[in-house]
Amino acid sequence: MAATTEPAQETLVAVQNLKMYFPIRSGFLIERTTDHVHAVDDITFQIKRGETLGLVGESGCGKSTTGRAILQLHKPTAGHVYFRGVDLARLRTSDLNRQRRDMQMIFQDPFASLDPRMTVGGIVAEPLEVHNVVRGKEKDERVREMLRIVGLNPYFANRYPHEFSGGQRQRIGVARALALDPEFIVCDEPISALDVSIQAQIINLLEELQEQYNLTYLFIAHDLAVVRHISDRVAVMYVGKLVEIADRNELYELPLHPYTKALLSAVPVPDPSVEKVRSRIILQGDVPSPVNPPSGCRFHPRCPFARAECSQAEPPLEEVLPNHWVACFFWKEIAERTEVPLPSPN
Amino acid sequence: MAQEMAPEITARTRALPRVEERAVKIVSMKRMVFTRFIRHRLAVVGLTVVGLMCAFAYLGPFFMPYQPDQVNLRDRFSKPSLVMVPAVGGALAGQPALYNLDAAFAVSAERPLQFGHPLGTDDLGRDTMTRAMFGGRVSLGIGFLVSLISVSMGITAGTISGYLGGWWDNVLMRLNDVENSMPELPILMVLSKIFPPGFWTMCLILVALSAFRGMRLARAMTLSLKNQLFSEAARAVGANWSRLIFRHFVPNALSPLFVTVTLAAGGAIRAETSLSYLGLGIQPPMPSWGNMLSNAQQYFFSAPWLVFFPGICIFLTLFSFNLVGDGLRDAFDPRMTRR
Repeated sequence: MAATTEPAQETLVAVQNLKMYFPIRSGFLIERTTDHVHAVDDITFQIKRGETLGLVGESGCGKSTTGRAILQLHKPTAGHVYFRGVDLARLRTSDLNRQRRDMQMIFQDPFASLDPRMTVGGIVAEPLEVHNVVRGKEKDERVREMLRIVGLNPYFANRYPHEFSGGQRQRIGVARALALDPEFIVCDEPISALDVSIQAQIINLLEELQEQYNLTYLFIAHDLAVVRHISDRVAVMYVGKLVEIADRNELYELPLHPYTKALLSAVPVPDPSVEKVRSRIILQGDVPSPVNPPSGCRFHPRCPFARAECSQAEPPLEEVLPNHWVACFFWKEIAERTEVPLPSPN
Repeated sequence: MAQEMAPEITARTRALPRVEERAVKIVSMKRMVFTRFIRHRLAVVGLTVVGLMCAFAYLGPFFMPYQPDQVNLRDRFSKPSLVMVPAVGGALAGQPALYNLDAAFAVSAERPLQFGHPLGTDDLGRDTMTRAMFGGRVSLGIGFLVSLISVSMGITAGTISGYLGGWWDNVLMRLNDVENSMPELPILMVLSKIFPPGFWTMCLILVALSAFRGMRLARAMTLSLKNQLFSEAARAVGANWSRLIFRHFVPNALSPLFVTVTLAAGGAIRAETSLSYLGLGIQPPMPSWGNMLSNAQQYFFSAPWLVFFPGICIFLTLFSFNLVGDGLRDAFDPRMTRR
């Protein structure tokens, strides 16, 4: 566990009690807010400089919304997002746009995230133009350099996005995110729209760029194997709540939250003899609606270990082991019952 | 494959299988649109006809020896003829006007052969071709002016409405609903009764009514573009509203807008023609295709050319505008590219 032994890293992004509710409006002429989608409900975590925090969870659990709310693409309903100590949620638009120089985003769908009527050069140059960093020849040179860095032919600058394959387009998206030399990049499922063979290319590219430019990633994905590969720490979300955060290896080897256990047990093992005897936790029921989430622990209706208390009070996210945070009242008992070897307290 | 590899790329990336690059010629969007349009035969025909109509209306009168309101009671209802010997008074009084073949044989020193009325004359002996030319100026002028002004007004209002949303959007859309729920022709009739008829009044009325169409379109386009991922990407980069609208929305909305302009032009011409036909539009003696038709209907059996030629003008123009609109729509659609 490298992250724990290293001297305390500087926190780059701190998310505090972040809430993102989307109003559901109805009514003719006079619209009334009748309800809310509790997409992200009171989450707190930090991302250290230079690390990759993986964020996993089922579809619709609020992963992407968290990423967008951090970048203020959705104005958060409540809470703070500190970027280098500045609270982004309280900034005016002009100040916010200045901060955006150093935080960028790579999008899930490389087909939709590039303007079809803009050349690749125009797309990569857009951040440079918006922030007025370089102009004229210098700008063109920088665009070509960016394309080269992400492994594209600089000669492509004159072409339009529809002439490229998915992997190439995602490289264009990476080049755009990188153009301003940012510190922090939210990767919103950057590989889930790509073929498996291309996924590896993009992952390697992202890792390489991180090494070279000392980037910090929030890596949102639902592919658990990829997240394990790329992340330093991993956070697990369930219906708008963080249920567990831990260092990568610890989370995968010693999952404490019943939801994390179930999630990880869904990953197939590429070995038929192991796969045959492997026990899977199969959850009953559906993911609850974020419009009307269950009381108490949000996982209790589906949790095989749930008790009466679970529906009463909400378990707080607590650091139960060093650098291992879990939001479950009975994590210890569950661990004992499922015979997970807990590290002996030192 | 002449791939330039940057020194920064390490061996790990280089070892990856590269996607095979086909040598593709760089083709700009404008060029692509142009080639696709040219390939659309009917659209080219339509554009040619519109061009010929414009030449007919705007240049034609310079070559005609008649004025549009030049009355000649001796040559009333003359049939279409390229040459003629006009009716005369004086010593040869009572000699009827002769056309085409008869005229060619009846040439004498007193009665020289003249350029005739290629499209005949009407009940006051006015030359139909000259009148059709001036009528074309009215119709085409209204078509172009109204479509350009109304579409650009509609786009401005619709884009703001779609982008801002809120109460402004609500007000405009309810106004739009009102406009949508009223039959067009009766409104046009009432409005042209209230205001003094004439070219500019017609323009104003038609602009006011057809601006809504552009507005609806622009609003719908903006709403859909605003929620596209690439505009979110632009916002993530820090782009402000003017950049979003002018660099992203407008280029993406260009193709339906062009189509709307051409269709709106056709619509405006049709509306003008209908009104003039009903006697509420352009007032005689100023010619327009509509009031020429309206005037001609009582002579339908005795002088059918008076109905035929303005009718053909209207039909050809509207048909061509629709063809051009069709071709433009296809030309702007990237899926129509055949390589």
